[in-house]
Amino acid sequence: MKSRSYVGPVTSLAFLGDDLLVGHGLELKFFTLSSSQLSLQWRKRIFKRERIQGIQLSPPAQGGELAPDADILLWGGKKFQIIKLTDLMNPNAGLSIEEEIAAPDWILHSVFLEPDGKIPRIAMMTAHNTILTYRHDQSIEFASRYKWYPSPERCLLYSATLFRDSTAQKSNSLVAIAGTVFGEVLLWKLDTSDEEVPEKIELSARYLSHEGSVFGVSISPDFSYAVSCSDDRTIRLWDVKADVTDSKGCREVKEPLAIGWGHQARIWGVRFLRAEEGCVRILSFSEDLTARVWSMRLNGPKSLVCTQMFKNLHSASGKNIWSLAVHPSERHFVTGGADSGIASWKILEDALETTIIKETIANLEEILPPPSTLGAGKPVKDEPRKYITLGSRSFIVAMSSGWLLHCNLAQSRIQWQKVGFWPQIKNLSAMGARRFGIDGTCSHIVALGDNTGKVLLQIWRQSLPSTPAGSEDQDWIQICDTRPSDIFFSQYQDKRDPYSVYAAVTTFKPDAPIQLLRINVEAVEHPTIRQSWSLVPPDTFPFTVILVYVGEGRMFCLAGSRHGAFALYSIATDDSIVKPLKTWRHVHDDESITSLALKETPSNVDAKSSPNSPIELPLTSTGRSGAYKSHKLFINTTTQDYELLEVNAVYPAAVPRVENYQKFTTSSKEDYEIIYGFRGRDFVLWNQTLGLEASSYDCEGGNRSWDFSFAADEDDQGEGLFVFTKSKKCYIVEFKQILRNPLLQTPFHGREVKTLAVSSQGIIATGAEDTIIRLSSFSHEKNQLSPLTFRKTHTTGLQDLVWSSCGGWLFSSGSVEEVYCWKVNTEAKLQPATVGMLREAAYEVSTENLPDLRVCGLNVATVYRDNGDHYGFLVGMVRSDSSIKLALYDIAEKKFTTIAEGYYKTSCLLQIQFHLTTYGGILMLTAGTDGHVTFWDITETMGSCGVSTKSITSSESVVLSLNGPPATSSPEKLGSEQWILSQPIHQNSIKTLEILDRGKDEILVLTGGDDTAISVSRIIFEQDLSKPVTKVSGITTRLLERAHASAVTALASLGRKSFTPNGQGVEFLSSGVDQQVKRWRVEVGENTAIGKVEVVEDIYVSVPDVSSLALVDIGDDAQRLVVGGVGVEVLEL
Amino acid sequence: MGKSSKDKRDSYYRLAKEQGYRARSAYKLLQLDAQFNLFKDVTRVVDLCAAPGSWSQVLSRSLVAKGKDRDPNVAESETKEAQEIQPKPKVKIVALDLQPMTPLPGVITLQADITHPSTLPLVLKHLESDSANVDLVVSDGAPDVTGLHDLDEYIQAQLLLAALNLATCVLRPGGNFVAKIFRGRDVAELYCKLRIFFERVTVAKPRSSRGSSIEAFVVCENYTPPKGFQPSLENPIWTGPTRQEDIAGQIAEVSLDDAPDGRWVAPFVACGDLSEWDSDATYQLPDTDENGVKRVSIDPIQPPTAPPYKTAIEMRRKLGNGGKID
Repeated sequence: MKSRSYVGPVTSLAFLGDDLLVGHGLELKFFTLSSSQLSLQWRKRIFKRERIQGIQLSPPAQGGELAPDADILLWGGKKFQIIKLTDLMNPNAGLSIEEEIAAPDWILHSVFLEPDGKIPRIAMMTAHNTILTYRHDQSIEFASRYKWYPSPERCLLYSATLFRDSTAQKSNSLVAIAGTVFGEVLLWKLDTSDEEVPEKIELSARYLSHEGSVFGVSISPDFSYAVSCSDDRTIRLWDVKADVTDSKGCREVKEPLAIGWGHQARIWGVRFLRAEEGCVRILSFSEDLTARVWSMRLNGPKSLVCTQMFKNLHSASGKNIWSLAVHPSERHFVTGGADSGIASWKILEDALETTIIKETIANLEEILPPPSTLGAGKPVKDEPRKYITLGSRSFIVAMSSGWLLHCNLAQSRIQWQKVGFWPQIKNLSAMGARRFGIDGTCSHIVALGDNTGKVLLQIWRQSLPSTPAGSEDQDWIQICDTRPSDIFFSQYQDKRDPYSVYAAVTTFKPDAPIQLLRINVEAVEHPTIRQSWSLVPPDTFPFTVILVYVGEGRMFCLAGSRHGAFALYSIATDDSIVKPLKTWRHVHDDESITSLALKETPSNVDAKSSPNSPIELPLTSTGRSGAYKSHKLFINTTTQDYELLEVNAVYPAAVPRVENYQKFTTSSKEDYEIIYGFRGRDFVLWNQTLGLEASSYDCEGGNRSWDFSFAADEDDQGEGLFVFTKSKKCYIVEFKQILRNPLLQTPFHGREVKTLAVSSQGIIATGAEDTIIRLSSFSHEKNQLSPLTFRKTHTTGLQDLVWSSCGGWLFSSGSVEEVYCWKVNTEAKLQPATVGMLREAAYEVSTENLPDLRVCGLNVATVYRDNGDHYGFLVGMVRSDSSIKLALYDIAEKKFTTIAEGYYKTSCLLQIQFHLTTYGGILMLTAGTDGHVTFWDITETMGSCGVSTKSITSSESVVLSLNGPPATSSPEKLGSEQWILSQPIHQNSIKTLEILDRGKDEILVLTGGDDTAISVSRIIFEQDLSKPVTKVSGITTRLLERAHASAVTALASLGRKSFTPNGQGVEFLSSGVDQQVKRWRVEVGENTAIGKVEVVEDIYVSVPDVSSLALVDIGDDAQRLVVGGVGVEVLEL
Repeated sequence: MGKSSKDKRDSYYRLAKEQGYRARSAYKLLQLDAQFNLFKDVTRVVDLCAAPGSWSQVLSRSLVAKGKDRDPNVAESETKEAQEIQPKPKVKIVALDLQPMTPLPGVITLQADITHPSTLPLVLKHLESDSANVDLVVSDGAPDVTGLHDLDEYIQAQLLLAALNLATCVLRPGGNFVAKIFRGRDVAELYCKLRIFFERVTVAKPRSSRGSSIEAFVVCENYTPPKGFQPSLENPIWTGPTRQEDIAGQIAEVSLDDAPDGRWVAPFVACGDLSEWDSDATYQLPDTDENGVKRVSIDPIQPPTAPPYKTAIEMRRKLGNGGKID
C-alpha cells in the first residue's frame, strides 16, 4: 500500500517571496506565483508520522534576497528537518523521511541562529517552556548536538514564539514569549552566544488577566509590544519594551495595555502588522471563522478597534483555521483551514482604499424640485418607489410623486438625471426591464405602467435613453383597462430573432388575464408592441415570472406563480386568448417563484427543427422556498404530454431567501454559480461552486423596495449593483470582485468524516460531523477526490450513508431521527454541472420526546414489483434507543412506509446488514454497543408485508420483490423471536461490520470493535423445514485481540479480489483510531474452519480519527482505498 | 451555532444528579472499581486533577463511609446523615487540583500543581507520612481539546505522565495507578512506558464512558519500579529534559522484551455490566417515576464552572447589535 493523496488540515504556511510553502499533513507543498495566481508546483513528504506544524527560513527572508545556500527548517511534534533550500527546490531531488531528526520534547516554535561556519544552528522552544539549541553537525554524537538551557518555569504551554533579539548586541540573543494552559503570558530572554549555560534563568515578566488558555503570542518587530490571544475570546496587547531591555527580576503585569473584544470563539493566533508611526496593527484568526485586523493609536484611547474583518474564511463548513502567513508586502495574507482549504485575503492599507463594497446614500431631495414648486396641490412626501438596475453602473428609480430619475455611477461622481415627470405614474409598482444584446452592444428595454393601464417603452443604451423623454401622450400605449400591478420580461433571448422581446403585464385583479406582449426593439427610438395575447391564469395563480421560448415555428410561455406553481402555455399567432396547457403545483413548495431561465440553448432540439418533434428545455428556477432548482421541461405537442422534471435542487443554507441564480464563465474559463438573496438582515451573494460567500451587505432585510443586477458589460464582470430603500432614502451599494476566487486549495469537510460510501457509478459520498454530505468523483490523474456537489441539509453530524446498488439513490442518517432519501442524477461524464442531488423524502420522525435519538446504521435492498418494475427499496434503520425500523421506499410516490419495527434490547445499535440465502431466506444482522452480533430471520415477517426474495442472490446488491401494495395498516413486529443467533463477540461497541458472501449460503462476517479486536466468523446457513426458515448449520469465530492499538473503526473487504488465487484464503483491510491501515489474510479450510490469520501489510495514514474505508475501482482491474477521518487519504493497493 | 450530534444529558448525567455526584464521570471510577477491585484494602489515595471532585466523592463514599457526602448546598434533612459519617481514622484521601474545589468529607483538598516539586512534600505532609506508602493514585485529568489531534493527544499524554511521575514518588511497591488516556495514534508508546513501572497494565473502557469518545483508562497494577529508579519531581521522566544529560534519554525509545520498538498494546477490558446503563443509548424516561410522581428536572449538584469566555459574552451583550463590530 502506498499513499497517493491527502486532504486534511493545513497546519503551516510560509511565504518565500511571492511563492508559498504549505505544510499539509506529512507533506510540504510549494505554490508559485504566476499571472497573479498561486499554483501548485510540487509536494514532498517530510516526516514519517508528524504533520508539519512550522516552517522557518534562514536567514529570515525579511526584505533581502535569500542566500543561495539558505536552509529551511520544518518541524512537527517531536521531529524536525533541516534542508538546503536548493535541494528542496530541485524537483528531481527526493527528500528522505529517514533524515528526520528527533527532538527531546514537543516543539512549539523554532528559529535559526547564526550558523557556526557552514553548520546550521537552531533554537527551539518546547511545550514545557524550555529552550534547546541544536547544531546540525552530523559528525558528532547525536545528543551532544543539543544544548539544554534551564527553564525559568517548567509549565505546560499551548503557544510559544521565539525571536532573535535585534535590539540586543549579540546576534544569538533570544526573546521568548509563551502562553500557558492557565492563561498566563510569560516573557523571558536567553543569550545562546556563550558556551556557558547559565545556572538559572529568570522570567522577565508575567502578564496576567486572560481568563483561559493562551493559544497564540507574538512580539512586535521593534520589541515594544506583545500580543496574546486566548480561549477567553480576547486579544490583549502588552507593553513589553522595559521587560525586553532591562533585566531586573520578574515584573508581574496584571492589566494589559488594551483588550480587543469581538471574536465569538477561541482565537488561535495573532501577528503584528506594519503600522504607521504611533499606531499598532494586529491580525488575529479564530475558531469563529473570521480573521480580523485590529488597530490602536498609541496616544489615543486604550482600546483595540477592529478595522477589517474577513468573514467565513474558506467554506462555511470549516470550523478552524490552523495556519496563517502574511505576504512580505503585508498587503495580503493566506489562511489554511481544518477543511484543507487555503485562501488568500487582501489587507486594506487604510480606510480610504477602494473596498469591494461601496455604499452611497443618495439625497434625492437635492435633485428633485421641492414639492411645492410642482404647483399641483398639496406638497407630497416623496420617496423612492421602485428601482430598475441597468447593469452595475446605472439604475432608474421611480419616485412616488411621479418623477422618474436615472442615476449614472460610471463616473467618479454620481450623476443624476431627471427622465421625466408623469402624474399618472404616482405610486407606481409596474416597471420591468430586461437586457438585450445586439451586435455586441448591450441595451435595456424598460417598460413603465401607469395608473390607467397604459405602458411606456424606452430603450436605454449605455446610460441614456434612446427614446426621447416620453411626455408625449401617444408614447403611452393602452394595454389593459385597469392599473397594472407589475411587468415581467422573459429573460431568454432567441439568437435567431434578437429583436423580439416578451413581457407580461399583470393587474391587481386576481383572475383577470395577463397581457403577454411581443415587443420589437429594432428601432431604438421607437420600440413597438407587435402583438399581444391574453393569458388566462390558472386558479390562484398570481404571476411572478415568465419565460417565452420560440423555436421550430412554435412558441411556449412558462409562467411561475406566487404560490410555487408553474403553468405552460402554447401560443399561436392567431389566438388572442390563451389557456394554460398544464399546471404544476408546489414546485417551490407554496412559496413565490423568484426567477426562471433557460439553462442553455437547447441546441439539440433546434437542429432538427421539425414542427412536431418533442422539445426538451433545461430550466433553472429560484424561489422563496429557499431553493434554486434545475428542471427539464418535456413538451410533446403530438401526444400532448407535458412533463416538468426536477433534476437538481439546492437549498443554500447561506441564502435562505433565494432571489436569483446566475452562472458565469470567467476569463480564466472557470464556471461559477452565483446565487443571491437575503439571509436575515443581509443581502448575500453566494458562490455555490466554491461553497463560500462572495459578498454580503447588511440592508436590514429583504422586505423593501430593491433591485440588483450584475454588470452589463463583459469588461465589468464580477461587478454588481444593489439599490434599495431604507427610511425613505435611496441606498446604492456597488459590489466588486464578486467572482473572485480566494481559494488556492479546495476545501473539503470542515470536521471529521464519519461515513463514506461509493456508488456503482463511482461517486464517493462523504458525510461528516460538519453536517454536510459531499459527493465527489475520483480523479484518476490526481488520485484524489474531486468535488461534485454538497448539501448542508442535515441539522446534525452524519451517522451513515448508503447508496442503492444502482447508484441512483443515496440514503443518509443523522441524529434527531433524521433519515433522508436523495435522488442523485448523473450524466455520462461526472462533473459538477451535471450532477443533480435532490432530497426526495424524509423518514417520519416519531413524536416521542427523544431529542438525542440517533440513526446510527442504515442498509438498503432493492425492491422490484412482481411485474419487474422497480418499486424502490427496503430501508433498514437501527437507532440509539435499540429500535429497528424497516421501511419500504416507493420511488414513484417518493414516500417511506414503515413495514416492520421493534426493539433489540435497550443498548444502542450501530450496524445493520441484510443478507439473502439461496433458498429464499431474508436475514438481517445487527450489532451495537453490547458487542453482540445478532442474526434475525425476517423471511416470514417480510412475507406478511408482501416482500420476498427475487431469484438473484448476491450480498452486494440484495434484491427483493414486492407483490401488491405495501400494507398501510400497522407495521409488523420485530423481536427476539426472529433471532436465530445472538453471538457475543466484542466486549463493547462493534464499530464496523462487513459481510462477505462466499456463495452456497456461506458467509464471512467481519467485525471491528472498540475493544481493539477484529473478529472473523465463518457461517453456513441451511434451510430449516420448521420455523424460522433458517438455521445456522456451522459457525467458527476467530477473535483477533489487539488487532490495532486502539479502537477498530473500519473494515473493507476487497470485493471480488478478497479471495486469494488458490481460493484458500480471504483478504480484507482494517483501520482504526491508531491511524494504521492493515491488510489481513485469512486461511479458510474445510467446512467452517479458519486457518492462519496474518497481517500482510501495515501502513500509517495521516488521517486521525479514521471512521471509514472504501474501495474505488479505477479501471484496469485496479483499486484505490479511500480512508476517511479528519481528512481523507487515498492509498494505492 | 451548529448542533452537536450528542446530547450531553444522557442517562449517566441524570443518574449523577439523582445520586448527588458532581459529575457523571463518578460512574467511570465506580465501574473501574467493580472490575478491578481497586478500593480493596486501600487506605491512602491520591486523586490528581480532581476538580470538580466526582472521583473524590466516589473515594470518600467508598472508603470513608457509605451514603451521601456533606456538601454546603445539601438540604438540612441530609446533614443528619452527614453527621453520622465517622471517617475511619486511618483512611487518607488527598485530592489535588489547580482549581479550587468544594470540600468533601474525609477528603483533604489541596490547590496545587502536580508537576511542581514543592507539591510532593505537601502531599506527604497531608498523608502524615515521610515515605511513599500510597496504595492508589487516580487521575481523571483532561485538557481543553483544540481539535488538532496530535497536539491534544500530546497534552493528554503529558498530563498522564505528570501524574505517573507523582505516582512514582508516592506509591508503595505493589500500589496501583489509574489514569485517563486518549487512545490515539501513539497510545502504544504510552502503554509501553507504563509497563516499565507496573506488573500489569490494562486499558479499560467503562460503559459510562461513551463509545464515540477517544478516552479510556489505564489501570496499572502492582507498582514495581525498575531497579535503581529514583523517583523525582525535580527530574521527572518523559516530560521533556530537565538537564543536559536527560536529552539522550528523552529521545531514545523505551523498549521491552516483548516490545522492542517501544510500542506495546495493552489488553482491553470493557467494564461495567451489560445490564447497566449504556452511555451511547437513548432512553425514553417515563414521565412519572415508580411511585407515580411526576419527574422533575434536578439541578446539577455542582453548577458548571464559569467558562473562560464568560466576560466576552457579557461584553458582547453590552455592545449590543448582536456583538457585531463592523
